[in-house]
Amino acid sequence: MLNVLLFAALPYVSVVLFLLVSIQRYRRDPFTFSSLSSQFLETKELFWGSVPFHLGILTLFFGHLVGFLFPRGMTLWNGVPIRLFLLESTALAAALLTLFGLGALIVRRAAAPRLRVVTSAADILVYVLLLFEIGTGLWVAITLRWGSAWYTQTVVPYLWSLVRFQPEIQLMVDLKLPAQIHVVGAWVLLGVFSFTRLVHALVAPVPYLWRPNQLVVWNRPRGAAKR
Amino acid sequence: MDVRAQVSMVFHLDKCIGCHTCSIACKNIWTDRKGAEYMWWNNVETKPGTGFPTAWEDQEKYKGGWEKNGDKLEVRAVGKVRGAMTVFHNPNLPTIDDYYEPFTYSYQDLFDAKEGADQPIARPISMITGKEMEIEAGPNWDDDLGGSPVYAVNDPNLAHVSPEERSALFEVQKLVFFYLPRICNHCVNPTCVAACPSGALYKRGEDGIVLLSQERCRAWRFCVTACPYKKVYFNWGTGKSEKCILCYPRLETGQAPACFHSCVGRIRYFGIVLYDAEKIEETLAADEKDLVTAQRRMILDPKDPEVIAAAKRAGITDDVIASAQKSPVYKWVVEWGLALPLHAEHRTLPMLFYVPPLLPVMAANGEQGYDTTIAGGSGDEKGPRDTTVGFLGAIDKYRLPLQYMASLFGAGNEGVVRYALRKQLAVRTYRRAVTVGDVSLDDATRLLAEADTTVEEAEAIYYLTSIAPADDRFVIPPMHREQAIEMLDEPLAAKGFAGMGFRKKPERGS
Amino acid sequence: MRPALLWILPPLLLSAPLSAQAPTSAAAPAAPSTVPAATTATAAAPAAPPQAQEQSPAEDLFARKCGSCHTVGKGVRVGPDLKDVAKRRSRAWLELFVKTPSALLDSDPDARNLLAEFKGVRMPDLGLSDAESRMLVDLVIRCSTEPCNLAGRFVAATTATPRDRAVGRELFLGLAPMKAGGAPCVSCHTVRGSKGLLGGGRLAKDLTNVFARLGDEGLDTALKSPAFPLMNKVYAVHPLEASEAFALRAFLYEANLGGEPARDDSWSVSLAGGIGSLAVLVGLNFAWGRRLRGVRQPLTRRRENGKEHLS
Repeated sequence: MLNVLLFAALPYVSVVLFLLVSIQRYRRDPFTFSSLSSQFLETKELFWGSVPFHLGILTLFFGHLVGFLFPRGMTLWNGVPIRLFLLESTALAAALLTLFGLGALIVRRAAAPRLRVVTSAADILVYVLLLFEIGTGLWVAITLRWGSAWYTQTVVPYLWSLVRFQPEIQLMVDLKLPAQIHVVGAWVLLGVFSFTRLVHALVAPVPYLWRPNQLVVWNRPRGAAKR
Repeated sequence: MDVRAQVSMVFHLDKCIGCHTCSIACKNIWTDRKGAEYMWWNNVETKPGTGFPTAWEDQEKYKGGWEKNGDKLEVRAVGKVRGAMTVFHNPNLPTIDDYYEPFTYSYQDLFDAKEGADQPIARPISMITGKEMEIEAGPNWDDDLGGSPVYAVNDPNLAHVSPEERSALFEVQKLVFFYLPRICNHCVNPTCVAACPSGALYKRGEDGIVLLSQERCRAWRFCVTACPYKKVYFNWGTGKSEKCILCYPRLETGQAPACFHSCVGRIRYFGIVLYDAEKIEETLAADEKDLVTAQRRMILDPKDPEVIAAAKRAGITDDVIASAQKSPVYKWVVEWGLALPLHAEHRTLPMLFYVPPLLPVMAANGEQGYDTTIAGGSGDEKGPRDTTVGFLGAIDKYRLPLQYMASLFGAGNEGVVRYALRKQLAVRTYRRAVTVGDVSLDDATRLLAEADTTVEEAEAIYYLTSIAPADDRFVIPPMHREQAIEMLDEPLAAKGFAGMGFRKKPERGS
Repeated sequence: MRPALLWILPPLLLSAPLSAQAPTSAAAPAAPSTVPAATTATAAAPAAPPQAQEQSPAEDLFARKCGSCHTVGKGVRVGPDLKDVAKRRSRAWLELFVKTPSALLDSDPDARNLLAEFKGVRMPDLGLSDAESRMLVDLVIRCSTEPCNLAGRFVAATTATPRDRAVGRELFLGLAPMKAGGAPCVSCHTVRGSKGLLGGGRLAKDLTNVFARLGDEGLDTALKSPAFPLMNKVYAVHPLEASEAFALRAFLYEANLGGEPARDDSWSVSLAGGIGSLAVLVGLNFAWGRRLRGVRQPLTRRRENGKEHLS
């Protein structure tokens, strides 16, 4: 029963919450979509936190995503020891960077009185969940080594079974404990995602890279002249 | 010809008395809020000095403005690629410590303190943490050359001044300064708009006011770095950037912006100019020394029939064109060539122009101290005098070195600054001849001719400088809000497109 | 910034040609040189094991559907030994249970006792027809008294050639892909002497002595339709072929005989990861070398320090 709750019900609840709340929040309250950067109040320690954390977590996120989308490709990739070595050590380096960055961010926030003023309960929740996720992720990587090899055989089919609305929770139930709580932690993180400042990831300014420099907004149609 | 209208401003620095009334007017209306306490959308700086935030002109550090790479203009530090790479930590972002930590005092302690041997005192309290703090800086920490050995000597514009002149500048007997009030320049080519990753910053098409949509801002902070004038401020409370809105709600009801309206010295002029958007690229491509004149060429003559026809084609209404024809800004900037943009070398095409100050009028005259005669010489000689010396004479011996002024107002080009100063000097000498009479009208008119002006123009300059009432100083174009899309659309739906567009209290998200 | 990107890029770049790669990834340049080239080329098509005695349709059905968990007279495996089961239960009960175990497992007291006895391992519904279940019950009754061939086309691992073992080794290490796309064994298992995948994964047991533990037949069943948690799910969608199972048995038989102990190379990854993250941090500090560390405070402090120096 608990397994059904954690591995079948929780994912759907989380995904629905993530989608509905994000969209509704964006429509109703776009003002709250912000990275809420605190660099203006403290910049020196932020460097050691923000940069490694973001680089690390983006690498990890896209690593998981690639495995989810191309499981067979990843299995083939891992067939050769040197490539497995590259993938696993890159992932481990990214995880260590993320942990280092997150640790620096937490220490920074706790230490600077100015930052405590701009720290909300949701921020603390985010820190706790992220720390949990990275901690369990490292636990998995070290005790159940070559996660990139078995991830595509166990977790990925489980994820796709969720996509097909035929959850095969047995895949999760039979997995070892560290991996199980890592997965549950991920669902919880996804569930609270849209209630926290994490939403800034959804509005990452990718179009900036190709949009024209100047932006002119007309309050009324411009007559016959071209825009 | 793609004619566009742009609200534009002139500050006459000779008239500024440094009273900060403009700053207070602005603060009371717009930035008296949590997270905005430290912001001064309008501030008045002492020059030489490091200004606000400290050393904002030092682009080696802050990396604001545009950078010309061959034919291409790029946002200096936070352009597309470099910006994307540094989004997680902006290496050139000033922090609150480069402005100042906003503070108040524990006034209540004066009333609530228990009876004791000592007088109760009000201690400084941080407006960020609410705890007691040590005040290290304020918005005008170097006002009137306060702390010169720390601040004024580090004025980045002094880099262009010779060491002798620089040391002379800080001799007690020769100390000299003037005030520089600054607001957002509402540039034609704003770097902040170009650098905003989420497209929150934009230029209003009808009047060129640069605004920042609070709902679109995502606190990527590029704008703060990109603006070479450091006139976009980051609200640490709401996690959004904010900037001068040129009091557009006042403008739309026909009132001058608060800082203009409250100006005690009446140094501010407001009007609309028409410019040719097709000439922007050509203007931006100009050499640094030609930037000021190129920018003037971009501005169109509102009385030229061709311009009027093109303006009408572009949808600019007759009353706006009429307003442009009366614009005092057009006179100061284009007709008379007296007003100059601040730091044009950043290529943002700022639309706030400054009449460089003539004060203090007494020129340094080498070892002999100061020549106290009006136009040079002993005063009773016949014939032409040497107008390069004297009380109102020596521009080249001007106490504020010309290179320094050129660094501020001429993008390094001394010519445009010298022209503006000579013309002002000529007008002043002419008026002296008319009202006091200790200079002959002949000398005065000759000076006028040498300064490329005429009696009529001198009278007009004199009128706008000294006499003009508010209606002549502030020629506010009709903003035609009745035609804005909001009128045609569901009001709440369209409101987010223009201005700050708040529909609720701006509170920090989670 | 740039060093960080470089660190991330190589795997991404290298992954590009992956999709275009033929299934015989052993042809990749990084393949260990210990594998003879000749076997590499044939890895995808292991030699078919020699044919055994023919099976009747009922025997074949048993081998496919029941054999992984049950024997008839050869002992308890995952489920009970079915010898003489007809003497313990009624024929109707048996037919119903074979067809739809789920109908009885929760309600019938006998079935519940069995479930408890076998540690809660539930027999799955096999989707058999009435005729098939009757056929199977008949078979079990017959085989309780006379010899049957229920093990399928079983060929003992001891008969394997060195080439079979080499093929098994490649399959085990993932140097050659499984035909149905199953994961190579090393993803989760280690085995003595294996060098592929840096010694193998740690999600499941070490397989060095699995041949001894399960026996040749048990291993065959475990490979073709494993009853182990997780593994059964993973290989349900990507089942092994008989020839692949044979090759793997051959390899595991050899592994059981001895050799070097299983390698543990995970320290090298930990080391590389640690060094990598440190290198990135150093690189970042270098790339952000000219970041602002305050403007006003250094300016005023420089002056204050200067004063102290002068006085």
